[in-house]
Amino acid sequence: MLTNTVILLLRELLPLCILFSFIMALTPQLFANRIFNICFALSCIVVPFLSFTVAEAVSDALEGQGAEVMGVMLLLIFFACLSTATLFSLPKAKTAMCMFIGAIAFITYKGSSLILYLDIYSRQVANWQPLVVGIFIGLGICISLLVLFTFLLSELQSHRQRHWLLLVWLLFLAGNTAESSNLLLQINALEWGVYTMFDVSAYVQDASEYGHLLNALIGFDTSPTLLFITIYLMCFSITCLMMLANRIMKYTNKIRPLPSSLGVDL
Amino acid sequence: MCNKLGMHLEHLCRQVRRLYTKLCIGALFLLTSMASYTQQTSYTIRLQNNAFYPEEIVVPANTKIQLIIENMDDEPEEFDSFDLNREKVIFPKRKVRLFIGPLLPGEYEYFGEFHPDTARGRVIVRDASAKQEPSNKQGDSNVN
Repeated sequence: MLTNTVILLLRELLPLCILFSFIMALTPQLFANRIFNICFALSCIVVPFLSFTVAEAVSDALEGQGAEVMGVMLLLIFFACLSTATLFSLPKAKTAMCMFIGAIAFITYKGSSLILYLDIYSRQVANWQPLVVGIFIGLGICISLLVLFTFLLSELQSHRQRHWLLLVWLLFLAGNTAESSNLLLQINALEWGVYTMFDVSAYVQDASEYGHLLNALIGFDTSPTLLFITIYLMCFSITCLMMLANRIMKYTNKIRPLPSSLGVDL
Repeated sequence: MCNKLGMHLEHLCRQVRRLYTKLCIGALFLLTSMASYTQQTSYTIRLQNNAFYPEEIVVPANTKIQLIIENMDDEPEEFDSFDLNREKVIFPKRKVRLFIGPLLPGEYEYFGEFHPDTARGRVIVRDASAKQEPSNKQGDSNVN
């Protein structure tokens, strides 16, 4: 059980830690607002719990396809809100709102499975020691990576390497959004793009530590389908195009520059 | 001249922004409402005492398959497979349907994420000629 708990925490919590690192690197001033911090912290706990309480009803909805449809919607909200917040020159309040909604959508998507797992074990386990130790080890690994990754991203930001920071951020957004392809194929929503394009499991396995890390970081998949690759490339190219468009608009001086207080300078 | 070019570029950028917004909204509504129901061969797997029965199912290659998983236990389980790229929570006393494939011949492992030590199984994919071989371990199959 100890190993299972650690693996589950790595799978579900690691992408959330990486998301926090990006938010802190891209929009550090958001966390300077006390009210935003309180609302964000409360929502991070309350919304996934609410999602967990209605998970059974959602799963039964739409002839048993409710969970997948909900998952796809949450991932699209995550992509739309977070890419809008970081690529458009929005006022600070709107940027904060987009960040907030996008992050909560992603936390809800990843968090409900973790809560379900912890709920099952907390009800049936006589010996709590492996579960508690597993949680501590998993949390320890996730928090260590959060600190390390935040430091790395902050260094990129401070050394005027924002293009690398944004590149990894866009890969993170595209990779996690492309996960929706598996949900769509799982419910047979699309007939197109079902074939696996290649398989690199001989080099890195999905279930390995590197596999989990790469999956959380850039949405790495050892055997992606054509649909996965298409969604990935579409999301990545759209956001890159937006970044380029913003640069051009800034160059022509026809729009206001991005709010410098947000720390996002394209 | 420069000013005119700037105006054209700005117009282009605004068009890109509009396209981006429309794409996001369109994707949200379209992709989530495209469920199609076609004739599929289905295989049933039962989950009992935190184990899958049968542990192995043999399916034809290059064919889309519907898996029906029944959870007979009193607690939820998550059907998970890295090989198949599938993940679905099955609540107690419920039956879920999910689609896999088309797959190349080979073996694809799956497991119960909440009980990975006991709940394990394999989907064995064989090409069309091997499909006809009788197998006692094969899951119940029927055409819906």
